[in-house]
Amino acid sequence: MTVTADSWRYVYGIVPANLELPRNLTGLDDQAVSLVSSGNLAAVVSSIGIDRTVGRRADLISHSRVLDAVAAAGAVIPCRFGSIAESQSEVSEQVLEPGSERLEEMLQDLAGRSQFTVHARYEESQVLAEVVAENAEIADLRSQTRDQPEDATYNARVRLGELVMHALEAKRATDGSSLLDALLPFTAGCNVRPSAGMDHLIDVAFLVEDKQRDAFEAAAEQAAAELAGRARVKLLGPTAAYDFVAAEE
Amino acid sequence: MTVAATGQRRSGGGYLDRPQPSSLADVVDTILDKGLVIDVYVRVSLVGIELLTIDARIVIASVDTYLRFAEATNRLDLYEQGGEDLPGIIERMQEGGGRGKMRGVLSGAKEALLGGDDEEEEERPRRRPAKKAVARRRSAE
Repeated sequence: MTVTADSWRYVYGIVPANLELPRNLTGLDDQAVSLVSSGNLAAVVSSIGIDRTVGRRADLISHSRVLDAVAAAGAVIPCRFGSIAESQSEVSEQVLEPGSERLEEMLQDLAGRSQFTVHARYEESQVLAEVVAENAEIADLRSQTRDQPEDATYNARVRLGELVMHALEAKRATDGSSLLDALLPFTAGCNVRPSAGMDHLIDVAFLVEDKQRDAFEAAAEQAAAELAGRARVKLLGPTAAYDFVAAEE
Repeated sequence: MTVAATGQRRSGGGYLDRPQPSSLADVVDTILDKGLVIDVYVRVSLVGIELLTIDARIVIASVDTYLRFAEATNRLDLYEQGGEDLPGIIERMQEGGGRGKMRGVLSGAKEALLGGDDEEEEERPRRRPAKKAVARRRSAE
C-alpha cells in the first residue's frame, strides 16, 4: 500500500521538521514510515487502511519499535497508541499547527535525552522473611496463627496482616528512596509511577541526558547488585520519553 | 552520543535485567496509558491481549487485604523446617531456594498476558480478552 489520498495516517509521534528518520523504517502493517511537516514540526506517520482499528500484538509492537528507533535519532514526542488521522492535511491542521509553540518547547526539553524505566520487584518470600525476623509482634502472631483453624484466629490474622502490610510499606519507602538517591544524580528528571502489589518495590521513569547515560547505567547496575537476593531490578530503555509528555492542563 | 550495544545483554555484575528487545508485557501499559493525546480519532480494539483488570494501583487497607498478607506470611517455611535459624534461612533464600511458588501469588499487579511466543518466566492466571473499541474525536483543549 503506498501513501495514497485514500489511506489514513497512523501517527506515532511529533519531531522537529529537520529530523532525519532512520532509513527503511517500517511500522504497522509493514508500511513505510515518513514525515508530514508543518513549519518547524513534523509528524511521524505511516499509511493505514481506512476505518482500520488497531490493537493486535503486532500493532502494539510496531508502535513501540518505531518510537524507539525515532528516539534514537532525535527528540520525539510519542503519541498515545492508536492515533489515526484521516488525511495528510488533518495531520498538519489538527496535530501540528494547534499549540505548535508548546510542542516546539517540549521537543527542546527532550533534545539529547532518552527515557529509561526501572521496575523493581521484591522476592516475596525473602522480604516476608525479613519482616518476620525484624518484628517480634509479627513473629508472635505468625506462630499463633499458623496451622490453626481460620475461625479461631480471625482477629489475630487480621492484625498480623495489617502489621505485615505496614512493615512492607516501610521497606518499600526505604528501599525506594535508596534507589532514587542512587540514580537521580545522573538524570534530568523522574516520574515515579503509582503501582501496588505485595512484591512491588518501585516503578520509575527517568529522563537521562545522552552524555550521562553510561554513568546512569552503571549506577543502575550497582543498585541492582545492592538489592540482589531481596529484589529484582529491570531496566528498560533507551526509549521515547513517554512519561514526560503529559498533555498540557 | 554514546549508544549502548544492542542484542542480548545482562550487566557485568549479572544482576540488572535488561531485556533486549523488551517484551510486549514490558511496554504495553506505557504505550496504552502514556504519550501525548492528540486531536484525532483513537481507534483501539485490543485483540488477543489479555490484561489482568485488577487495578492494583491502590492497595486498599481492608480486612480482606490484611488476611491475604497474613496468609502469605503464614505460608513461608521458616524455622519450623529442620530447626534452621532465621539468618540461615534468609541466606539460603538468597542463594535461590524457596522461590517460585510464592512469587506472584498475591502480587495482584496489573500485568499483560501475551501469546505463547513471548518469554514469560512465571505463570499468570488467564482472563478473557479485553475488547475495547474506541472511536471518538478528542477535543483540543
